[in-house]
Amino acid sequence: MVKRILPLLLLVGCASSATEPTLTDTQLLIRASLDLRGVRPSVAELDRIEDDPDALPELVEEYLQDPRFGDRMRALYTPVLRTRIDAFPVDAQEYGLEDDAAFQAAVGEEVPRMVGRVARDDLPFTELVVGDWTMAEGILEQVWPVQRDAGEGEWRPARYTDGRPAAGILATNSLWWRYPSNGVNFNRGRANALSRILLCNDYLAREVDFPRDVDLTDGALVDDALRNNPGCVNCHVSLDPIGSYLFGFQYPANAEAADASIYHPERERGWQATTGVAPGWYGEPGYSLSDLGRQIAADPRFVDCAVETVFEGLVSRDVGLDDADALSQHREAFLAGGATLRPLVRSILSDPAWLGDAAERNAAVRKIATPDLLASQIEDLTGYRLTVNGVELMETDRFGLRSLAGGVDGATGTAPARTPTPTMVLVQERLAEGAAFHVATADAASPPGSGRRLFQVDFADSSPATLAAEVARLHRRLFGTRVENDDPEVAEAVDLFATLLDLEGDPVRAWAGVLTALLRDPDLLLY
Amino acid sequence: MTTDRRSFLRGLGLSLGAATALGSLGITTRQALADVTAADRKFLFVFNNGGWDPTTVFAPLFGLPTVDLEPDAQPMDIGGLRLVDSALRPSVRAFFQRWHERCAVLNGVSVRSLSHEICRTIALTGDSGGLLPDWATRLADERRGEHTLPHLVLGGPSYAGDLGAAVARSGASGQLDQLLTGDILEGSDQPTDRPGAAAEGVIDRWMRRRAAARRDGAVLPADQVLAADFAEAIERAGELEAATGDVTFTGGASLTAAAPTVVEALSSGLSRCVSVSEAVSWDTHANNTQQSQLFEGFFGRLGGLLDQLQAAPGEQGGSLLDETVVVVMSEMGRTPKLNASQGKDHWPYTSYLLLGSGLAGSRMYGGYDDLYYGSLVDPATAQPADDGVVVGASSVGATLLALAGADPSVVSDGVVLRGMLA
Repeated sequence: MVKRILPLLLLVGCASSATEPTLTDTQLLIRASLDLRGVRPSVAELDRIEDDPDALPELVEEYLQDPRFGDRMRALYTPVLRTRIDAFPVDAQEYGLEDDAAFQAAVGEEVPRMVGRVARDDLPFTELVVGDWTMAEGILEQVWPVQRDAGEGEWRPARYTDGRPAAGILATNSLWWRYPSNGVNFNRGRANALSRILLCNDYLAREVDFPRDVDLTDGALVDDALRNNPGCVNCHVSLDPIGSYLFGFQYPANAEAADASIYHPERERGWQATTGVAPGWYGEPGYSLSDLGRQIAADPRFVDCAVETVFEGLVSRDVGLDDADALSQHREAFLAGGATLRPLVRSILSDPAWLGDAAERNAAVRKIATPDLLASQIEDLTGYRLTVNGVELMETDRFGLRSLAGGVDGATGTAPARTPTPTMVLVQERLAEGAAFHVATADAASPPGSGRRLFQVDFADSSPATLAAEVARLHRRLFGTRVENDDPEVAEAVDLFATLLDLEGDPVRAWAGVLTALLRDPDLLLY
Repeated sequence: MTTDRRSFLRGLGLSLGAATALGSLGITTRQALADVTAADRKFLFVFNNGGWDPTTVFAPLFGLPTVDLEPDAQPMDIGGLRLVDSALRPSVRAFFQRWHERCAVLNGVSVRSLSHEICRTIALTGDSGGLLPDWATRLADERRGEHTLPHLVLGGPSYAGDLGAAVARSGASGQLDQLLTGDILEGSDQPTDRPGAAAEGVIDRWMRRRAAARRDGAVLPADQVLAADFAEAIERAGELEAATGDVTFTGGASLTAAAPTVVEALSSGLSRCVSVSEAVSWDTHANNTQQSQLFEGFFGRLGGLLDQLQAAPGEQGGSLLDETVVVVMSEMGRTPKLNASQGKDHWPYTSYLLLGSGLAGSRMYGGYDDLYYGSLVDPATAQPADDGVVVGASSVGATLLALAGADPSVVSDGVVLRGMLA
């Protein structure tokens, strides 16, 4: 057993703490493939690991280099950024656009796409707070002062053209549309959002026992308390100076789209007339948003938080005190790799928590696929995507299925579902039906061996041996398992085919039904 | 899965045929309320998103220089309720005139934060982490085996914690209906065919067997939990599909739109708890008269919903309303003084309106002091007391669990406000 885990540990130069794993090589490969690429391993990859167990680290390394790695890191950070809210304060109509759903989706994607690029292109993680670029697609380029770089793909690196400071996500419209300032809290809420996202320090998670000796109805007394009352100073001494950096994104109430689209250098000194607290980062003064970005990048907690966030995302549980040693090890790997995400992820993939070690505290022996992960693996298997007017239904709640599938809506649902729910399996069911009929119909239009996507069977051949062989092949492709033609699981599926053929009278529909059942398997949701 | 599908469908029939006013059954409200056991109680949570201003209706803090009430605010005493009236809010007045006997107003509840997100989490779970199940989910889980969708979320925030199999969202625009009918596929960019009804039934049964086998074969504890939850979710989804068309899961952009689904879900036994939230923001930082308009509209619609719950028969001989506890809340209050924009900002104390079965109605509980902090309260009476305790959202949760006959001690820091219980 140890030989299975050892190669992964050796991959990161660490052979300590090898303990009894509970996942097989195949299960680990599936987990790695889903976590790093969003798709299941190919049959060739499955064969490779069966032929040579030492191939596991090689395959993991290949997955790490896959361009889709960026998409997975983007998805991992989505619940942290919480920008996909479907309801920003400015809508498409204010720009003269008709498709508000597409507009809202694009706005919500700006910052997650930046994370995706940092991961994909091996940029230092600090680029997220010091970079002079953003990410944009056609809609954002049309309505915002943004110019995309030349290149391929709809989402491309881009530059704001309104002269705003270079500060990565700190200088994006979408972050501050997502976290607006109500005009009276002077960007404190925004400062906390930065602290939560980038330092893993959520001031608001500190439950406040509002001191009863302060008259909160008197503004002057409140201001005094913020400076002198220990219960208030504890947070505000660091929070308020961060907020003071952000006045360039301060919009008036009911701001028009044009006002909210651009950066306002003329408002940067707004703190002078409000809090009177000069910009600063934990005691270190600064002047511009770029200063803030550099200060965050230089803060050791920024690195710690990145490590913690990626760890939690990959092992599907919160960190605990007893993770300190492991996190320290991953931190070293992260920094040794130039603070790029691939070395960090490579290190975490050697952690017993990710490996599903049963002895590990709250080991994620099985993880639940997020809506986007369920969709991406089914798309890879069948070519089917559930979209309306190009908008992914698994990534919106406005008319989509994200929350029903256990996802995070960014506003009210800030943690993904931790157990299967009735609506989650209903989403899986419909997705399975659509995908199965899509691929069966498409594959039936081509002869076997001629570029089909999934099915290899001769749809006209209903002989028991042919049926059993195809079911076994589907098991291999979908679940990574190798089952014999006379395996009871195969026999059950063949029986199902026969029943469906009787009912539907069409082998293509019968095969689509069988595939529907297989795609509804818990192994597509739990991995 | 022990869902009693027959009782579910029987209940549906009762619900859909419920045109008879309970008065004709010769049952008084007091009798009906008294006959309902804790275990029979159903719960409706109505969440007003954004933070309402209790001084507009619930907190009659007249004569205090520290609190700005509306210029035309007047005391409104109805039964034992001491409220705030305005000529602009006839629907609010009419609501309390009609329902005051059932209403318990709890003032001065601490939510310990000024952030919408954190206050929402605390108000609904008692904790800021967002990982604990909310009150509705806890209550639903207590009778999980008796309902197909123990906690139906038609709208608003929901925190399932580790009880996800007990919770189902309907979606903001009827997505659950579209899922159940399969219409979600037809309207997509790649419309596809689907199995015929008979074939789908075969596949469903095949899936149930497979999920059950996986559950029974799981070895590791963590696996067992997930496999069991998956199997349970498959069963519940199947029950829902079988009842497709009997219940319409309207998204619930307003209480009026959600009312039929609320009544059907509770009366049919489909759900023990339903959560609704209107597509309205109460987060008014400017022009505080907006709060008056919001309350006026809201109580008009809430009254309509209660009328429908009252008209529907319950399982114990009274009305559905007699068996239902309605919890009306908002995540935070608003500052006592007006700001420069004539609005009010976030405030860490708020008010709850609880209504219905098991509560000692027509009474005010808790309170605010002169600085608009929540008063300390004696749990035995739920009235202000100098040596009392701070009433937090956890105490609301603990009291609701006690109303449901569940163990309130599972809520840390929660003190049951026994004075509110009938």
